[in-house]
Amino acid sequence: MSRTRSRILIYSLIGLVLILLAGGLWASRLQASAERLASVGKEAIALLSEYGAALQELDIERAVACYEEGYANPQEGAWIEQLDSDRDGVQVYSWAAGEPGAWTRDDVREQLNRLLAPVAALELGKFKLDRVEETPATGKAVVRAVMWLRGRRDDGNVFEVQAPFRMWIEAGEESWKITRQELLSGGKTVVGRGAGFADEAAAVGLDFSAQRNPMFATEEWYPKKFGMLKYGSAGVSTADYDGDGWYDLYFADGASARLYRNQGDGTFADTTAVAGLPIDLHGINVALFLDLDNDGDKDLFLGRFTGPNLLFRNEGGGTFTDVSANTDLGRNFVVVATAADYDLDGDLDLYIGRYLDPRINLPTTLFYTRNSEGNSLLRNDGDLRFTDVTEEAGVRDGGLSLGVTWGDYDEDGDPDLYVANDFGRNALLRNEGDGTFSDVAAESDAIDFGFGMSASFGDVDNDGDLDLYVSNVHSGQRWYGQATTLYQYLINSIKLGTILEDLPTYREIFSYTGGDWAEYGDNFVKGNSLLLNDGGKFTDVAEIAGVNPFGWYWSSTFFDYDNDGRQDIYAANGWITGKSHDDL
Amino acid sequence: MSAVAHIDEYKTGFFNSDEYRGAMSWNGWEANNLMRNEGPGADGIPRFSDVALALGSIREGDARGVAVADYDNDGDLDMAINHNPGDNDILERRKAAFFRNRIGETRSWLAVDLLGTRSNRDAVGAVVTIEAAGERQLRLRTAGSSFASQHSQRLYFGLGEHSRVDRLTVRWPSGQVDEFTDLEARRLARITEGGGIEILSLAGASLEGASDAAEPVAAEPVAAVAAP
Repeated sequence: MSRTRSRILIYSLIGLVLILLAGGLWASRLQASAERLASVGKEAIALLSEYGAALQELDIERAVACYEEGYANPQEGAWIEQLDSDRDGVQVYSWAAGEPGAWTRDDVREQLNRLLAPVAALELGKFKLDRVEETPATGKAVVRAVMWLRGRRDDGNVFEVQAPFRMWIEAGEESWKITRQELLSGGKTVVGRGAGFADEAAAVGLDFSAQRNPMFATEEWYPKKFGMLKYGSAGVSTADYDGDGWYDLYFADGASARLYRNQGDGTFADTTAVAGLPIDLHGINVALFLDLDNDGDKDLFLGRFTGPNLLFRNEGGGTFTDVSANTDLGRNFVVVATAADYDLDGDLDLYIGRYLDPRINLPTTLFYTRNSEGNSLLRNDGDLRFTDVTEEAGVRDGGLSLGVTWGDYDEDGDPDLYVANDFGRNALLRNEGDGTFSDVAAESDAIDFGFGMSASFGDVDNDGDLDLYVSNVHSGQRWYGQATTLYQYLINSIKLGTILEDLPTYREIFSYTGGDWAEYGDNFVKGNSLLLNDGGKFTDVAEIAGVNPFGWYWSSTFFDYDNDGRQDIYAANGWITGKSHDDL
Repeated sequence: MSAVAHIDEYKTGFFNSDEYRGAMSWNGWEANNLMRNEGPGADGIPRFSDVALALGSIREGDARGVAVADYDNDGDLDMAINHNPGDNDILERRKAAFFRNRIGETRSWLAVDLLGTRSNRDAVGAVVTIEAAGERQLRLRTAGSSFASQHSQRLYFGLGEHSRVDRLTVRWPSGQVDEFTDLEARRLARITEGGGIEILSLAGASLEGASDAAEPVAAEPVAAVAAP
């Protein structure tokens, strides 16, 4: 061995040892700060839960006890509710801080008295912890939290408050206490009579109730690896399937999907059997009513999680015939579907979104997963026959797709695809006009790293182009995802010996985030995204616009419910899996 | 539960087990949101207020799919919602919801139906824009969006207090552009690719012909007004 080579080897070894030592130090510091973050978060949640419970009971003394005894805030102002709008029987107030002065616990008591004076009862009183902003020393922290009240006033009106605060909190002798607070901008009170909409499902004969897919209880389909999958499914579709001018409804279901005909007299009737559709077929997650043979009526595509997809030809007169045997529409793991004429040949093609196989796979990481069973593009070749062109079109994607939709976002005349994925990034598949697609999500700033569960195009700002609304998760434990936590995942991968398996994931995230890597964690549970289109580039304005509420959002859509000329948004929330109202 | 514990349990899959979660719910029992567009702020970005509770469209459920359409043909959009069955047998949480809108009908509107000829017959992908009192609105004809949902293909435009639409343009997938001017509000415009238009009234219980016709801008023949 030459002297040069041995010197290089020695230096390399020394370098390696140094890297390991530094890495170890870094790792142990991270470990310490992650543990501090976790314990502060836990204490903050305990304090905020106590405060919220006190408010819910309208027990002001108990609420005041959440502030330290010698509470002295030199710069605090009264919480003032300013009327912003009053229409359709709804008053919207925005919160602002009044003239600042020195506050004690007595001032806090007076403020809470003022806030709760008109309240008859609260059905909800809680705080959502949004961020742990600082952990300057053991037993001290600065957090951002949102006060959330819902209830009834003495005058009979219902009301809801959401108001963000920054709070300085400290460990006391028995429990943590608030030592200072600051009202942040964006707080709102909305008051109304609770009239305007009424759930008339029972009155109009929509007696549908969802059922679980019985296949998940069988040996063949038991979701051994990813059990929470059993909570999925439950799409719903509307179309005028019998052409009488009244919109009908189809409820997809795990066990017994149903077609309800709108009878035009204010009621619906279950016509599943009369129409010739399956009565007790498992795993129907999504239905699309489409005129696939251009004969003037709506045929029906059914996408299934546990079995082959199905196609029914509309025979006119309100009946369908199963023509699935004539063509291959793929099978299994299907959750969502959407149609458009991607090749502009005058007929509708199908794009089908899939999840992972819950029997053998977990999402590879909580925040960036690409191990789905793959999406499919089915080209309509006429005569209700389809060809799978996924590979040549380049639209398999690989994310856990829960929202797929077409829209010509770049206004070049052909429809593009947006794919919202659970557990990680979305795709914007630009139609190149030659039968192929390119994923331009990153360069168009439409990548949206959240837990995507719905996607819709619409022009929300009336500027003539298609914006996007995407459902995600906005967790009361967004602080989980803070930078230290993300590094923790990395270290944990090393500890568990899965780093080689996980490295491509981390590298891919890095390729999208670059220097913003540490902020990635802050973004994946920040809630729904409103992506405004500006010449084919998108900007997420959800936070400013106020459309990223707390919750786990599924179907969401633009629609102008009040016919005032501006697109509103409905967002359905759900993932109730336990009795506790404190979310994960 | 701590964030660190959460990380440790991830790879094993334990995090998604019922045992790990205990009484904890994956979500915090939040409800559905109806976010009203209050118009643009000084920066041009629209601002929203959640009016779901104030307007009665709130329900403690485990919602999934939503299908929006004018189910009662009264000129505004209603919501049908499917729910997840979950692990429990609580019927109230599994039941479909049907929120009938009683707000939109107090204002003016225009509904548009499209029939493709060169384009796909459903006219999916067509974009309709209208101008009313100097304001522009756009709607896209879709088939499958949101989460596992399909909404009304008939498109609805809210017109506030306006009684007419000054201009309506359809951009069909084939590239064909049809334009119409001066349409009366509170009507259903049924447009066939290539310029045909029928103006119908949505009379709540039944569709009946109305006497107003729209003049197409192009020298295309206007279809006779007809009752279905």
